[in-house]
Amino acid sequence: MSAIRTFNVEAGLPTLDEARRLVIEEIKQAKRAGARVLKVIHGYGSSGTGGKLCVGLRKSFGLRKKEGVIKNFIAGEDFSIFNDVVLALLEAVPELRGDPDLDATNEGITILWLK
Amino acid sequence: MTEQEFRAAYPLIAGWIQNTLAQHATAAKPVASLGFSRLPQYYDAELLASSRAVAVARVPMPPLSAMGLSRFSDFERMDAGGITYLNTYFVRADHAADESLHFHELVHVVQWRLLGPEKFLRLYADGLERLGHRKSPLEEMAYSLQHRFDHEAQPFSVEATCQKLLGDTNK
Repeated sequence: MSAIRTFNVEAGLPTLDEARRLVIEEIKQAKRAGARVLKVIHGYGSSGTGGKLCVGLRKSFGLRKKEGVIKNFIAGEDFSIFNDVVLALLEAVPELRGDPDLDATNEGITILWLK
Repeated sequence: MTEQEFRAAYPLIAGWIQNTLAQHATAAKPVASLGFSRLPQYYDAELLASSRAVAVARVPMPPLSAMGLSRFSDFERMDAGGITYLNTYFVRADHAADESLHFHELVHVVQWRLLGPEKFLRLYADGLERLGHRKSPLEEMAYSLQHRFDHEAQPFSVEATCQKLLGDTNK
């Protein structure tokens, strides 16, 4: 069992609605598998497929947090040890310290901290 | 660098350092809060709690040319991974999780502390001028201890080691 799972939602070129559904399903599966963190690869940009997924999914992650489905989420560009939420997450999931996206300012991902 | 040149430049550099640290004070984090697992085996808790780290896109270098020290312009233009001023060091954001880099900069924090600002800057400038950045004695010490951190399993006290090495340098 791995505490960290990665889901490349961008790979199947889904619409935003499809991507939302896929991510929700992946969150459920990850939780069932005992994962603590789900790294979602959605691409980046202010427009285009990557941009739409990035902006739209991050909005929905905010809702999932409010609903209590996830504990928190961290945009890839904020995934730094200088971020207090990240530090708390790293304490809970020390394996994440070895993640290549840590401090890589990767706008194309979002880290979901699962409950 | 003559004594006269150093005397003229020192207040300018010290002032620039104070301003730079003040500008970044809110972003500076105690190193102890960054959660590194190996650093506490090499540095005492007080040093890790009192030292500050700042992640930046590009580390701030003193405008030495504008201070009349144009022979250090190569150093000024360096895109370094980290740089230390007094108890605070800056690391490039894309290296911010590199524990080895934090170790290196903390060696400089210890050097600043043991030597005091004036002596640190005098020694650093002298080494930089005579031998270049990588081979200057204070950098050489930091790189050598960093090499031990990277390759040896047995922890050691950096402060005690620096004290001894700086004592030997001053003999």
